[in-house]
Amino acid sequence: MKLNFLISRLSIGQQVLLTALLPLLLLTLALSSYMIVTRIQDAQQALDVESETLMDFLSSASEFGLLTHNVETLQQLSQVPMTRPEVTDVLFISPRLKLLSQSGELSLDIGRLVSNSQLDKGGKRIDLTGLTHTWAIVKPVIMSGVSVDDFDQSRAPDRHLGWVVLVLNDRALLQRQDQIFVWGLAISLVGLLLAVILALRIGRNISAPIKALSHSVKRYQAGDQQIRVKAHYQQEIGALQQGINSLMDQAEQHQRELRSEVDQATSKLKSALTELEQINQKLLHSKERVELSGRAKDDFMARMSHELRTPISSVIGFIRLLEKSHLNDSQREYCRIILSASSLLLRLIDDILDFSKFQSDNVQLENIPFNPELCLEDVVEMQAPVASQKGLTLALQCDAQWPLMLLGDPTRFSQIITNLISNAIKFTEQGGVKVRLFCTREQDRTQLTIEVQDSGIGIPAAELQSLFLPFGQADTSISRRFGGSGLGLVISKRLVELMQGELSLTSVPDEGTQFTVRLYLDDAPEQQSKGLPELKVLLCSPDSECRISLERQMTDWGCSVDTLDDRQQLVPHMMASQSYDRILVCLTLEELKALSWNQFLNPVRDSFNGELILITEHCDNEVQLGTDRLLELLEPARILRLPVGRYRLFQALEARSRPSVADTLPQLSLQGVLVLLVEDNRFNRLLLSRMLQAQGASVETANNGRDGVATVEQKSFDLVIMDLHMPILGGIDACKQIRQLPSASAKTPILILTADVISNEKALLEPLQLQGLLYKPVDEAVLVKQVLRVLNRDQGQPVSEIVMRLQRFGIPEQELKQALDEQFEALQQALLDGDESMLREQSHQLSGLAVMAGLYRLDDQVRVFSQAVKQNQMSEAWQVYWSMKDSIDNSNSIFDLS
Amino acid sequence: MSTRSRGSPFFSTVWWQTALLLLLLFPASSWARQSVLLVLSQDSQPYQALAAALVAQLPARQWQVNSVLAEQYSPTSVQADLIVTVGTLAARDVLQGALHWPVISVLIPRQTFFALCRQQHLVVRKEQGLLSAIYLEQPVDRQLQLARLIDPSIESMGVVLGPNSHDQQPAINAAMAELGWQSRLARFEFNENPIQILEPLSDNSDAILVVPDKAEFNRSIAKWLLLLSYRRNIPLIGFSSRYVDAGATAAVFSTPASIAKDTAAWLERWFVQQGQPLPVPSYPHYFEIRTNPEAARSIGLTLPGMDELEAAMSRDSQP
Repeated sequence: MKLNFLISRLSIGQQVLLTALLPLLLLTLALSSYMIVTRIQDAQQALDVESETLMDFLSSASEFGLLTHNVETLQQLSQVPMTRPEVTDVLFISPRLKLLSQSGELSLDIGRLVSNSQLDKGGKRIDLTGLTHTWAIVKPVIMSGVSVDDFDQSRAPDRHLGWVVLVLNDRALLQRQDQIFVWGLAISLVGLLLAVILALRIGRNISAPIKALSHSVKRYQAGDQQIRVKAHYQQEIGALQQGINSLMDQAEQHQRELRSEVDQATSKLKSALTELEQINQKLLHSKERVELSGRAKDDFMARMSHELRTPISSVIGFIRLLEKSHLNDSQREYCRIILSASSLLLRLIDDILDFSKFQSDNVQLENIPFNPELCLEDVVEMQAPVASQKGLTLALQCDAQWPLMLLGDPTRFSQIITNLISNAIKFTEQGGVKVRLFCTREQDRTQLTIEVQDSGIGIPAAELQSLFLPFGQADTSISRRFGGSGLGLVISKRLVELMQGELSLTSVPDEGTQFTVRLYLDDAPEQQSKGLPELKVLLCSPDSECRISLERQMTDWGCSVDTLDDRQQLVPHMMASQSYDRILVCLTLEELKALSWNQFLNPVRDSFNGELILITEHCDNEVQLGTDRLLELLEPARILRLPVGRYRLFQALEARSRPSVADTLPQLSLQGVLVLLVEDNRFNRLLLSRMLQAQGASVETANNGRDGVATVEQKSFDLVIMDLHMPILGGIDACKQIRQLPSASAKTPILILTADVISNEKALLEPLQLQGLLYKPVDEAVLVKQVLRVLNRDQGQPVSEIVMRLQRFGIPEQELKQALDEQFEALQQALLDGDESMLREQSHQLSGLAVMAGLYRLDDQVRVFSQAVKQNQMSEAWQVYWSMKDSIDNSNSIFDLS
Repeated sequence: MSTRSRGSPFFSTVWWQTALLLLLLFPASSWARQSVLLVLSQDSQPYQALAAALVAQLPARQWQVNSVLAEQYSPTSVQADLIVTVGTLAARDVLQGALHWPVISVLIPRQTFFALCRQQHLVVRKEQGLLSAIYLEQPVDRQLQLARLIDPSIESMGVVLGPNSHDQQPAINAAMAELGWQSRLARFEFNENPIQILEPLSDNSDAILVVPDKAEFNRSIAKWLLLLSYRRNIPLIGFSSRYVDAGATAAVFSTPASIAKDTAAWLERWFVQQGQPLPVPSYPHYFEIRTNPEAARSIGLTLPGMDELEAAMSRDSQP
């Protein structure tokens, strides 16, 4: 890998050089080495062979000399070998070890030489002591015979004639080897030089054209389009050169064409731009026309919704008023039917209006704190009568561990859930509808999952897709069978999508359908308390299931709960223990109706002055049953209806004696208030007038905005209620004119009355400093509440209630003051004694008294006092005590502490 | 090198084997023929060649020739009218056993035959003409004649005698004298330094004649004789074809064919002269001559032509 990397970094010339040089280099070195080594070996072998040959020659030639001891012959024989440089000496020795002839002058131990040679058959190299680079070869001379008998094939015995000794040296050999090495080296270097020259030549031949081509291509890329590869090469490089030149020609030609095309396209573009400008102008005109028509449509929709909702609001309002009058059963039933039909019609109109708003993207969501659980409970409670009428169970199950305040649009949230639940009820004939709420906390966000599951007819898989299309009920026969606009699901889905949520459904025909809504909402900055620690509750219910369920729920919140299954034991139990903060009593509706107030409540009140909560069955027709009156009589007990919502129960336990009959309005709360009602619709005008007058208000009316402005100009009113859409002069323009009046009447509070408000109208209303909006159909309670809010009367409202309550109990204010003084004295004594149990007991009783009397500020202070006592912070407890005491002593009325 | 044979060529091995087979296949006709048993010393080429040549020489209608190796020979199984031993080993085996048939020994040195016949019964048989031999060697006068023919200028002849041939010294001297030559005889034993003996011999002789002796002796001195012959530029007369091959100037010698021819002649005569004794042991009548012209040239000698030599030799050999 590393070698590849290194090679890849070389230029092509270097790579070619390397490719050509490396093999040549290696080959040259290998061959040279081989040649030198071989030649040296050959020289050695040649010396060996020559010496052996010489020995054979001397051996055979010396037979005669040795046989005859002819020294002259032997010396003559030695002359030729002695001329050779590698021969140092030649000796002939007789069998009796007599030196017959010696050509050199070496002093040799003949006996040792001969004895060494006898170890083998001669010819072996014998090193000579004291002589370097010199050795001897000794060979015996055996006389050979000639076979001359024709008929004899036997072999004659050998006859030993003596020895011949050849003394050799390797000086010549070494010289020869040196020569070989030097010559070999020289040849190698020459070969190497030739290889380098050859490699350079080859490398240049290959790389030079490629470099030239590369240089030309680079210059061409740099913009020199006139550049061409000019040299003429052969073979592949030549073909490449021609190819590159051809490509350059083509590219240049192509660019020329492109430039021409670009020029043409530019001129076309210019003309197109001119045309586009003209078209844009036309489009702008068209857009203005469309916007105008859009505004006209919005205006039309607003007017239509107003026009449609106004009469229906009147119908509903009058029916509700009518229900309060003395009617026989048939008349009540007719009222109920009319109310139901009107509500349905109103809902249809609302759906269509919503849908049209979605179509024009005119829906804007609020982002205010709300409690989704409470919303669910409200919706379930609202839908419960419908389910009950069909014999269906409607169950709500909230898995949220605590009341949760999130940021969102509660109205739209309720609308989504209402649509899903009413849908579920609508398509379910038996069984029931289950609503489940799950919460998953994610840092500052909460994932809300709401499941609405029914056991209805279900939806075939093929029709699931068309379910969320406008007017796309699964089956057209469904519209006829179950009614409805078919817009509910579409609106719900659009709303969920607007909330960045998901709406999904699963359905099995004949088994049921489940809708799942997932919303991701931010947490509200202020959360409600997450529990009710140290709240002591007594729960009395004969129904064990109900008792266990409520007890578990309250225990989860940290309450200390005692239970009773017999109501008769309630009073004796309370008598025995005075320490309960809340008492919950479960009653059936029949029990409630049959209950003798004096027999039940008075004994309870005698022994318990805390919050009493009655839990009874739900009845959608309480008016018919006459229980509403009964409920009024039961005050100040708080009434909850089964099934008791978790949040409502929490609210009931958390709250301190506030007006407990939720639907009961304060009587004559608008006494002395002068209201101008500007409404073009006669029925609405009449209805609203009656509602306001019923609360003690004085009402004047005007038929349109112009009359309204004139009336305000002439007379001062506490409040103006202005319809938005009116003939002659609309509500917005009328409000503008009122605000521009020179007199003080310009600051008259104004509530806008409308069937609906679309976004552009809201924008128009903002600068008018209006005090609020009232949506049709106007709920009587909402109307009164809004009026009181605008007039800042809502702060004073509890006073009258407390007075009424005390009057109802027959307790003068002075007596209450005295009871409080006594309680404070006992508390002071306990403080002085440092008796903790007494302190807790006394503070508890003071708290109960404050709650009963509706003195909430005092109750708050008592709680702070209790906390200080609990934490053993006595100095703080003393401070709070004196603060409470001063408040009682220095106030004009004890109800200032409410 | 030229060789000239005076005898007819041998039949090929195939032919004499076929003839032998026919003789074996038709033993019924043997009553009319003479039966000869050939006892061969070895199963080697010269002996087989001689046997084949003999069979070829003898008419098949008259002669039934059987052959056996010496190592397989047994006197009890002999069914022949005459035994011919070929080689020294065969002669020794046959003569040492029971002997009831006339025996002719061929291819045997003269000295060896005499040594074998020293036993009394063999002497008797030899005298009775029941035992005879054709010697392997050529007579000395034949060799001397050849020497005279190739170099008529010879006046003295050196002769080397070994341990087995020294008894020929009188015959040699006589032959020399007859030719008028001076005899230069050298006699030595095997362990002696041949050069010391041969060198003076060659120095004083115009030619050297080699007389066959023991094989080892012949071999030992051959090289020196040849060397001295070349050194002194004098011709060397050998006694075998191999001598000529080794470098001798010329040689007269017997071959298996020539001996077979002599043997066949003896058998024919014996067959014709039924009841007559065998001829006395003698040198072969037929012989071969070979010369080495290259060797002769190297010593400055020009040899006569082979025809001339043969004619002269044949003329001189006539009894």
